Amino acid sequence: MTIYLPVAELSINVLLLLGLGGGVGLLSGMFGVGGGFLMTPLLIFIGIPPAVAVGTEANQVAAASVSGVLAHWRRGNVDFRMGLVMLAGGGVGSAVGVWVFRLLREVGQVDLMISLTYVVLLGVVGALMVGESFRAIARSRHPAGQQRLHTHYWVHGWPLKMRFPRSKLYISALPPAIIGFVAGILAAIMGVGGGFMLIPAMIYLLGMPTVVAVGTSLFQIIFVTSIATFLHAAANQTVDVILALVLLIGAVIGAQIGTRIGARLKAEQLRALLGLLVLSVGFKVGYDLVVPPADLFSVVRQLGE
Amino acid sequence: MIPRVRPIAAVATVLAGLAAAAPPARADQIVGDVSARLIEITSNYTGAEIVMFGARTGRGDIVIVVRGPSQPEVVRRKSQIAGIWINAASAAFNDVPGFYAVAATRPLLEIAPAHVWAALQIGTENLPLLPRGAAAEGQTAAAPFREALIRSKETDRLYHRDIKPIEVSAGTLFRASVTLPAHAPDGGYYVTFYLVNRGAVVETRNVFFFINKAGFGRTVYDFAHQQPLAYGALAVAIAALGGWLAAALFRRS
Repeated sequence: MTIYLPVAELSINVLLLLGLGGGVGLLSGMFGVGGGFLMTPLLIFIGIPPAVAVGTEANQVAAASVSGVLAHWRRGNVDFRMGLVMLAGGGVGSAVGVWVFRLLREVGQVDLMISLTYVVLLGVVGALMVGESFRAIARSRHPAGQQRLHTHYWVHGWPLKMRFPRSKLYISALPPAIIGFVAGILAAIMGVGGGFMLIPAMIYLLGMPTVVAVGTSLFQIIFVTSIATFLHAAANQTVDVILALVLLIGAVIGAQIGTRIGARLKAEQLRALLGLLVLSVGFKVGYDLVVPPADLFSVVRQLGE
Repeated sequence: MIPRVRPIAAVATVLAGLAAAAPPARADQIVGDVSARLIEITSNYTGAEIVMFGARTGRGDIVIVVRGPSQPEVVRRKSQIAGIWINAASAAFNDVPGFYAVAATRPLLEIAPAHVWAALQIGTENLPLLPRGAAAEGQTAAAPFREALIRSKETDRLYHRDIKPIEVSAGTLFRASVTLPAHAPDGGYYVTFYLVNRGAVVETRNVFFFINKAGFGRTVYDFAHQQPLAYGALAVAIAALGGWLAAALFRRS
């Protein structure tokens, strides 16, 4: 049972796409991330042109985040103020990212850029998460030291201070805006929401409570990926709505199952697993860069002629 | 879903026309047609099989060439820079046929010597694929790129280096078929029927067929390319609606 994807211009088995969406949705439901960092490489692997994979995945993550944020919003876990500040940076970031993406596509280095960003980011974030969660697991086994109530991070001394009552923070508006900016660039270049990077940054750099960080990152990812989708569609014509919808159907079903599995695991175990997953994807992408390719040549159809 | 027409009936028509029109003075003539003039890419399109058929008089060999719509392509070669493999050198080709297949009654070199095929630009090795901007000096340097381009098209089942067989029945009717994969480019395809006798082309006939995007897929594609801003906005709206719908559905259950 195949379906013709009009923008990607190829026919692919629907069940394969639903399976991919479901599998990635399962993991994203378990770990509370969008799963874009897994989906984009998988789409490229099954033969979707990288540019279409990135543009379409931004679209799908936008949809997945809308469905995710509603649940968090009902529980009051979205810090709208923080989200809007991050969004200010995120909008600029995704515009810059789409522009860089277009530039790289013209010189034929888009694949390299996608791969390198993946290796560096997933490697760093994965290593940090695994390290942190193993320490947390070790700590929970030896409950000796006392947790400090309020930690002062270096970013807390910056100017332009704002109150974020929901996150119980009084900090400069600059760090969240910068984090949003970086996430925006990533959304455009990698086709990901950037939750795997945003959430740790919000927890460890800004000091936000974990539940609020998850809800707020989803809120801001909706807008950043929407902007990225719009700009990719406008500048590159690489958003396949049909592909995004099929993936979404698989992903929402997978996410429901994943959430139930995730609820049975401990937070630090979840973080350790997610960290390992992030690391292994990064390692795989890195390995492919270093290993001699089977065919040195690649053919690219010229677009926009 | 493979679109076909009934070749037998069509051959009969062609043959009747041939018999009526054929002036007795000329011995060698060829007429040909294809099984479908219009192939529509619908949402369940999985490719198509095109049957090329016709009739010839005399005893010459038949060669049929199918060429898909041309488009510019860029071939890049990876080089190892600082330990990682990066796209480095590249060659741009202007008119690269999107599909290419040859059918013949016998191996080409038994029908005519190599220089005949080179002059006619028949066979993947004789395709006029010239890198853009490179005149005489770039030719040897571009050869690996040209070879890689053809190889890549062969892997995608868009070029066929092997000559496809042609069935001839009753010495007059002939029939050959070629499979167009789902990813074969849309646009105009032309089929050329050659009648070759004693190493020279006696007659040629051209027939066109089209692969067109149709229905919903076409609407989406046109919308995405002609009104990218509205398409982008719609894509975002669909995402928002789809996400909300999914959340609403699962909240109830």
